[in-house]
Amino acid sequence: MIAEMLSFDFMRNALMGGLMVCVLCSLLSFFVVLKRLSFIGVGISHSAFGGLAIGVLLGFNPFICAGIFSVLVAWGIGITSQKGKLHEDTTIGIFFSAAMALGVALISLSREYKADLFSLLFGNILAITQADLWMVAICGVGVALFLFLFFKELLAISFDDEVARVGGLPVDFLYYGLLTAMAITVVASIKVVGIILVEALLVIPAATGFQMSKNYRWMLFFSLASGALSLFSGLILSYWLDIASGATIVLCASLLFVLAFLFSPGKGVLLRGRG
Amino acid sequence: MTGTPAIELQNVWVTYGEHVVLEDISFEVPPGRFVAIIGPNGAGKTTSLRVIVGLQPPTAGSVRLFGMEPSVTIRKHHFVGYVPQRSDFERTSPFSVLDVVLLGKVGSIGPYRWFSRKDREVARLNLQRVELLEYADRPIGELSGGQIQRVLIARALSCGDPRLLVLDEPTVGVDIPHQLGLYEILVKLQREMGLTIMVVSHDIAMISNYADDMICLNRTMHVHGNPCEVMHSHSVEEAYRCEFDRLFGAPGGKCA
Repeated sequence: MIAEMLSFDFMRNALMGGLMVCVLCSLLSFFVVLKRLSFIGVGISHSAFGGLAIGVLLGFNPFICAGIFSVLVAWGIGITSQKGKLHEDTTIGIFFSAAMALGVALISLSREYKADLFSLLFGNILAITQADLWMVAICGVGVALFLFLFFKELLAISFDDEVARVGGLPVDFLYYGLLTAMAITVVASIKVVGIILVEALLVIPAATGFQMSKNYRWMLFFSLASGALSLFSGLILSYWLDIASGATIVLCASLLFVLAFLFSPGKGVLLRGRG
Repeated sequence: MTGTPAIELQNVWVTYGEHVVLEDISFEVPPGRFVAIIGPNGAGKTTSLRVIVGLQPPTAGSVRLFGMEPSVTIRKHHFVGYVPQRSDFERTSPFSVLDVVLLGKVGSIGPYRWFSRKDREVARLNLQRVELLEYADRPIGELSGGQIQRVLIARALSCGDPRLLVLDEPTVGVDIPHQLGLYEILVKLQREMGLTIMVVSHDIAMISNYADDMICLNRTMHVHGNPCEVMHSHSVEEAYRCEFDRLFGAPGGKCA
């Protein structure tokens, strides 16, 4: 069946694009979980919808518009949570619902785009084109380079940002860099899993990794492994059962998390203390 | 740098709008001294430490560390190790004790470069200094509160070229034997490494056994001197708004 799947161009594109997105999201999810940014991730991913709608209405490339808009919203969330007197979850709630509402309002003005709304919200991995692959690859290289260059610095701010600041690290640059990387990754992932489900890939792989290990190196390994495994199993199942591929990938990732939560040696609920 | 104070505050004010947190604070700490800042809750003790380590810019006045701006001392020379009050990391963090100590070194390495063999040796030496080398590979969450504080001291010692160690309430939530152990380690570090140490503490009686000098704050500076002078100064009673006997345990109290 796998050979049959790979005989189609669109399946090869789906596999390659999906793999790049899953690796990228898994890598980033490591810091999202460590630095507890998952709700900011929800805010950024949902606000991408507003950017897409602006692009559609103005006739610009919707993904580039979504990228710029998401980065601005990510910074907005960061600034209001750091400088404002409101709690971070409140500001995120305001930003993402406002951006989502803007998206819905603008899309309703556009006559011809409504048919694609479902694929924006839930992804359409089988429609990935060569140009999409290039976009994902460029975004992926940029984000991976940032994470690679500042890996230990990001570890330090994830553990204790005040001490990192006293240690001389540019904490604000690293924090906003991480938010920007999240925004770029969200936009690169829209075709694969869609706006609604991308958040799952920014949290679940690292949550699985966290559950599997007490050491960050293994946590990173299990994040990447569970992300890639979710993609392969999700794509095969969606092809076999003829169900939405983005949702199947996320369901596979969730299943891996549940298995890790229950059976992980040392940390699993059912095997705790035996590892 | 001989003769230059390790810490020098001149007419430092910190205000939040109308609210004055620190009012016209001036003091000098010579290198190699162990200094404790005491004062009641809300006296501005933590704010004064945050001013010293550059986390809180003063509204007015100047701060110099080893004769330089704190940002220079911190970013360029990496002289300052900081142990914040109740570090807010989760006990489930996936870091070993050695990983945590190495994280203290990150600011002085620069991007791209990973920890060298020498960095690891220094981190192990710092763990040995706080008597926790045998715990190097344990997950940080498996240690007790007192042991974690010692790990955080080892992390502060890994800042690059440690000359000043700043600790905010390092003994909160730590039992008495571990408090004694922790202060003895600090005195040993002061003696062996020539460190200047500044500690905020709420336990006046305990800290007076270890500090060379004490500074009593309650928004303004009430007294600065050796523990004997400070503890027998009426300024302390004034700062705490309570009598000396109630602060240090009255002879003839319930245990008499």
